[in-house]
Amino acid sequence: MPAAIPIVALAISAVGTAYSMSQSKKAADAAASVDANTAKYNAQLDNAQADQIQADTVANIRTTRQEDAAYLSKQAASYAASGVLATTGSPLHAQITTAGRMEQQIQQKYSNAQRQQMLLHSQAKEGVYYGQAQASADRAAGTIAMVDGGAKLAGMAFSAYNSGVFSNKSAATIDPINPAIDD
Amino acid sequence: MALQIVSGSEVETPASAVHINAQPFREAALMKGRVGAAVGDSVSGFFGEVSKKFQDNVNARTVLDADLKMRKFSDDFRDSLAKNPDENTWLPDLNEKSTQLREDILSGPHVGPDVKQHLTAMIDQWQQAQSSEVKTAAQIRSINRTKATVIEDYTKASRDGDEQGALAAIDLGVQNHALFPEDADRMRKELPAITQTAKVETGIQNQPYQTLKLLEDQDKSGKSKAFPALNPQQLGVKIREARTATNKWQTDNAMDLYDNPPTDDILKQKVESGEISEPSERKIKAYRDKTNYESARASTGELRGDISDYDPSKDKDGKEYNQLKESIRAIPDFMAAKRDKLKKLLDDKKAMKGSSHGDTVINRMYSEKLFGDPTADRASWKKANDQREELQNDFEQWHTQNPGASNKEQYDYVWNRTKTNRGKSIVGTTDQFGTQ
Repeated sequence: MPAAIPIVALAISAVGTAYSMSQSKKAADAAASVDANTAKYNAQLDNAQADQIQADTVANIRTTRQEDAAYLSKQAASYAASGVLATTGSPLHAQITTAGRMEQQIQQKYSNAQRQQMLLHSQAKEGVYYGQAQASADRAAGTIAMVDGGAKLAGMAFSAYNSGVFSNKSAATIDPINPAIDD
Repeated sequence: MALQIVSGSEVETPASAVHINAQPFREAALMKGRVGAAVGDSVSGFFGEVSKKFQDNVNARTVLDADLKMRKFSDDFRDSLAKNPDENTWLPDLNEKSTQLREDILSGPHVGPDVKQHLTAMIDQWQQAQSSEVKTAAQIRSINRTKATVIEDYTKASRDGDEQGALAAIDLGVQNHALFPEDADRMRKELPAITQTAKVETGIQNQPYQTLKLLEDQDKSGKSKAFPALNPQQLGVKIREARTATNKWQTDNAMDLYDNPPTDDILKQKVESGEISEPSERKIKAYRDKTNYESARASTGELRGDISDYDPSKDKDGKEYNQLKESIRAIPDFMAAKRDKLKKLLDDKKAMKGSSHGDTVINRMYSEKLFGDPTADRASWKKANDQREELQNDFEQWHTQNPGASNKEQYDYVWNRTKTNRGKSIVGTTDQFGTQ
């Protein structure tokens, strides 16, 4: 059935296009999955890092306050030993100043830690968004591949129809190499 | 989970993990799809190309097949035109058959939309070309037919001498584009010579003498006054033809006159009207005179026989004698001697009161054709009569000298005279005529 060759070849070509579409879609879906999972993992990592910074900061503030209290206590004792009443006049003023500076340093550390945490949380969210966007883009690429493949199949079918592949009414009985021409 | 803080020291817990770079894993995920897509695309492209090439081959064959059918149709239809004399049916016939061929081709087994569009354009162009060709051929055939009719009308009218009719035919031919103007001008210019030639030919056929006179009546330049369109060569030819026809006509007329030659006056009139020629007139006159003489001579011969046979003894009332006498008197003057001789013979016979036996024998010899067959032809007739007359004269002379001769003696004389006539024997020895 030599005249059936165009149809068979066309069918194989269509199968090839469909396979290409399918593989492209699967790959895009896989890539999207990788994007999403990676973003999720990186976000979790950033969030954990932020939580660790919070814990470290709280611990360090507590330690610093304890150490500052000890220092102030030692300073008051030193005043007393030298006959200076630590609760009045300049010593008191000095102690208040020292305590204020110490608390200011603590607040500064806490503020820094907060900013770093916020940065990490923000980075985690951004990573998720990025991953989602990348996954969406990959899925879209898969969809585009499907659409392209469908359009290609439709184009092949249309072209084949126009060129008369489906018009071979008696294709099974005609030899294209040595055709019998009708008088 | 935050780490347990150890009191007394500042802690800074390091990160226990790093960010993952997704790009390699993504590429790995995509690469498998790309390989599959590449394989699919290759397969699709290759077999798509195969399918297209096969279909292109089929389409090309379909187009060539249609082209072949159209060429064959064109050849067949062109051949069929020769068998169809009515050119008005050519174009409708072409339209019908070519439309049928169009439907046959377009409804064929391998005609897809692209091929159909191509074939439609091809057939449109082909049909238009065929239509033009057939239309042109039909017009040429129609023009040729009109031209043939025009020329036929022109030829007939000009040969009939109908100059107006011939001019009308020319005008009709020009109006219908069957004649080029220059051809029409040439035909108009040639027309006078043709019509006058036709008139001359008709005249030669019906009135050759008068036509000859008209042709010979020429002006100073040598042209015929009656037929000025004839050039010198044509005039010379027609004069010769007219002369030949006139001679034949005059000869025929003259031959008709030999049967009953007319008088001199009538002959003279015929010469003057050209009906006969002067030489013919002379010949007819001579023939007439000679015929009259011979007629008279024949008459005298017969009269002589009658006189010989005359028996006065049987003519009691003299009636036969009177008739013979009248006959002798009617003999013309140019045979006066003969007339006198016969008159004397008749008188002698009457005086003898009886017919001689010798005359009877001589007449029987004549009737038995011993002197030849007088009815065979003119020469035989003359010979027989001359011999009989000679023998009768001799016998009369002898009988005058021997009036008492018996029948036997008369017979012997006649017989012996006959046998020695001019030294030749003209009869047999048998006594077939009797001696009594």
